[in-house]
Amino acid sequence: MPTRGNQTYQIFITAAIVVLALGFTGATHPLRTSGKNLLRPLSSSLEAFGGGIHDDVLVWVKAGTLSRDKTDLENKLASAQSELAYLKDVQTENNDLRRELALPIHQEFLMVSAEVVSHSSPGTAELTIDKGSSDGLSVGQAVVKEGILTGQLSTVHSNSATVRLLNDSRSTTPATLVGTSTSGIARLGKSGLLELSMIPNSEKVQPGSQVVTSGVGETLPSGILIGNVKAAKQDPSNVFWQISLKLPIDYGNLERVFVITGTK
Amino acid sequence: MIQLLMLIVGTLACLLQVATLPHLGALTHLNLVVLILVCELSFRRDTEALWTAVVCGLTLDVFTSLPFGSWLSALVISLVITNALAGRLKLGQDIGSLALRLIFIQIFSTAWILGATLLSGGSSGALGATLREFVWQVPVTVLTLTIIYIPVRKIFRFLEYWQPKIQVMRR
Repeated sequence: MPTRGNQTYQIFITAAIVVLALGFTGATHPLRTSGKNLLRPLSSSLEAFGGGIHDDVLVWVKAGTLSRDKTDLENKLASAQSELAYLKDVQTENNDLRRELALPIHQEFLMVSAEVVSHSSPGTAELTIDKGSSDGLSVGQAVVKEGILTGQLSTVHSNSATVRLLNDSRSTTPATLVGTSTSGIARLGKSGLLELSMIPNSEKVQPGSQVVTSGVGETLPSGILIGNVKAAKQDPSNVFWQISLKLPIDYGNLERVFVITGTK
Repeated sequence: MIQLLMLIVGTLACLLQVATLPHLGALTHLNLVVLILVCELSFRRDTEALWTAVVCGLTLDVFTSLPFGSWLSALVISLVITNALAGRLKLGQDIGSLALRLIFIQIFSTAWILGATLLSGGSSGALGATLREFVWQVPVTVLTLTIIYIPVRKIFRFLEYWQPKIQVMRR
């Protein structure tokens, strides 16, 4: 850029230094005051403008922070709710296990706890559990819930097994009435209820009597509760009682069962 | 005409510098006055830049506690020295030349202000604050210059293009 020469510069510099010198003496004080008064309206407006921008930005930043905090808290809440649900589940399971383990049957038999992973397919009454041969399970073993027989293992894989429930049409369980010596067979009847057959008319049968496994055939241990007599009829043309059973357990709600693997 | 416009812009820049920018976080460190002087010194004539420096210096002097004339002399002297250096170094209108001019003006004006502060019996705290401000102002202002360089160059070219036409219209 071309320059006009040293003379112009000298004038500007000299003038500036003169003003500075006057400034040091205080002679320019009125000039400063007048300048301030003159520019005050504009400077006040610009200051208010700057303050406004600052406040707006502050609100915007705070809104952003609050939004992030809200998201964080929502995530934490979701996580806490998930954990709470899990803990409730664990607590329920823990209570079930404590109640189950307090039963006398657990003092007598070795048992493996298993979780029900799926319920029966249409036309069958079966469960799939999360334990298998690698846990010591084998076909035919008794499956109980709260000390009551629910079925037998029909198929066993290394890490899962199928439980055939008592109300499956293919189930036949040697059973007897408590207080009698005669063994019968518990199986699904035509009425859709579990029935106890092969009990001679000579035996004394009363509603409410307990029905337990007889142990015949040695596939199942004896003395495990199956259910109670709901109704018992005598047919003169038949030598056996017609006994229908009431099951104490709802098989549709089973979540955890125990497989008897041996005796203690 | 353009000179008048630049004087108004310079005055507004000073007012923004002392009244608005202190509220705007990192922009507090932006030296708007030096930015305008550098652009005018690079894209316009040096005497025009000097007049803008005078107006800006006087405006800043009104609002600061330093002896009146401190900013006026600081800006005028640093502009003259920078212009002389730019001539010797053959600086042009590229971004690097503008940045160099900006750094020179910042250095000389800060040195002058430090001297004025010392002479007026300023505390060591005031000197430290001036130095700290200088350390922040240089990168922030150079960064801003880099961002606005292209639009500013276009504006000055536009003004250069229209100036003769305006003058003809006035005649």
